[in-house]
Amino acid sequence: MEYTDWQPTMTIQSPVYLDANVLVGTTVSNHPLYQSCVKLTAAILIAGVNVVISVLSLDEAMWAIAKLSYCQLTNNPSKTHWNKKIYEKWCDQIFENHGSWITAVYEMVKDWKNAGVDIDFAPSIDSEYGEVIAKAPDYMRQFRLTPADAFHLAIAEKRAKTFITADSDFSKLQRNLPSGDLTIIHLPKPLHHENSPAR
Amino acid sequence: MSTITPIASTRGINQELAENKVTVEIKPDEEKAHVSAIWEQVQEILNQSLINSGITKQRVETTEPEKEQTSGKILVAPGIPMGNKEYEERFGNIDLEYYRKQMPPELFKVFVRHAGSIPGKPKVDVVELTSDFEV
Repeated sequence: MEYTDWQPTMTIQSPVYLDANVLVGTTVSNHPLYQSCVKLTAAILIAGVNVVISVLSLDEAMWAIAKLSYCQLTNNPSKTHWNKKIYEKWCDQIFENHGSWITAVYEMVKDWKNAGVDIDFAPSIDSEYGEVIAKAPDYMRQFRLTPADAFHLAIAEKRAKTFITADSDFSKLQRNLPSGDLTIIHLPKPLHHENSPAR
Repeated sequence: MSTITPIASTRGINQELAENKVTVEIKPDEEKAHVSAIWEQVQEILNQSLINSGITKQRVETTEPEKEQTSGKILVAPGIPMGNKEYEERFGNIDLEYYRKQMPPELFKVFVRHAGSIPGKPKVDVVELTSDFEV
């Protein structure tokens, strides 16, 4: 495996597995990673690569956007405490005020696919599930990854050549990169606000 | 069959008719979204009417604005109008013209429809938001 920070001029090898933070980062405006996420997804769409999405990413995206709605309704920061109990308490207000947000990532992916983008959902067959489930605990133990991150890495390793994420937890892999031809591309936070037109 | 002859007469462009020229000005409907295919059909109907009426063999050229401002809104792609503030927040520092040229029209349309469709804030941390799933 290889681990590197993303550069706009970088060649991205197909298939590409997208982490939930990249999908959410493209759908939500104004945050520090927004321009990088938009530039990156545009580059992927223009390149015509095979994009791999997992149900885990869509699940995480829905949960993240439900939390974003809660943060905006209560004027809290992103790091505010959030759990099932809070969600249940605020569920009606979230859907009443921001119902369309919840499925925004899924709608985006669906529209990309309808517009001709080569998108696959993974894991898609029993044998893939088996391999991913068998591999994830190894990554949890070896790199102290959370179960969700370990699953993302195992799915990416099974189905993609490139794994794109904004989560710096995957930098832990640099200490002892596993074998294989997967490249992990990390989307770093910008050091300053970008003012020049982006491509 | 459609014809534009009576319209041309009532607008007093007989001099132009004598010169085998017709000026046709078409303004897009401000209330509706603009669709390129429809725009092309309008142009084709006008040209066919001119040929059928024998007025001219000259083709009428109409243009569809690429980034038109209607009712204070910017038409980012066919059917996707956007207020100035929203446009600035979502695409202010992004070279959309470059992407428009690089993507097929339908892909560009869905790209701009979804990119930044949820209004965030500068302090939003998408990594923090998505990581909450894990605890």
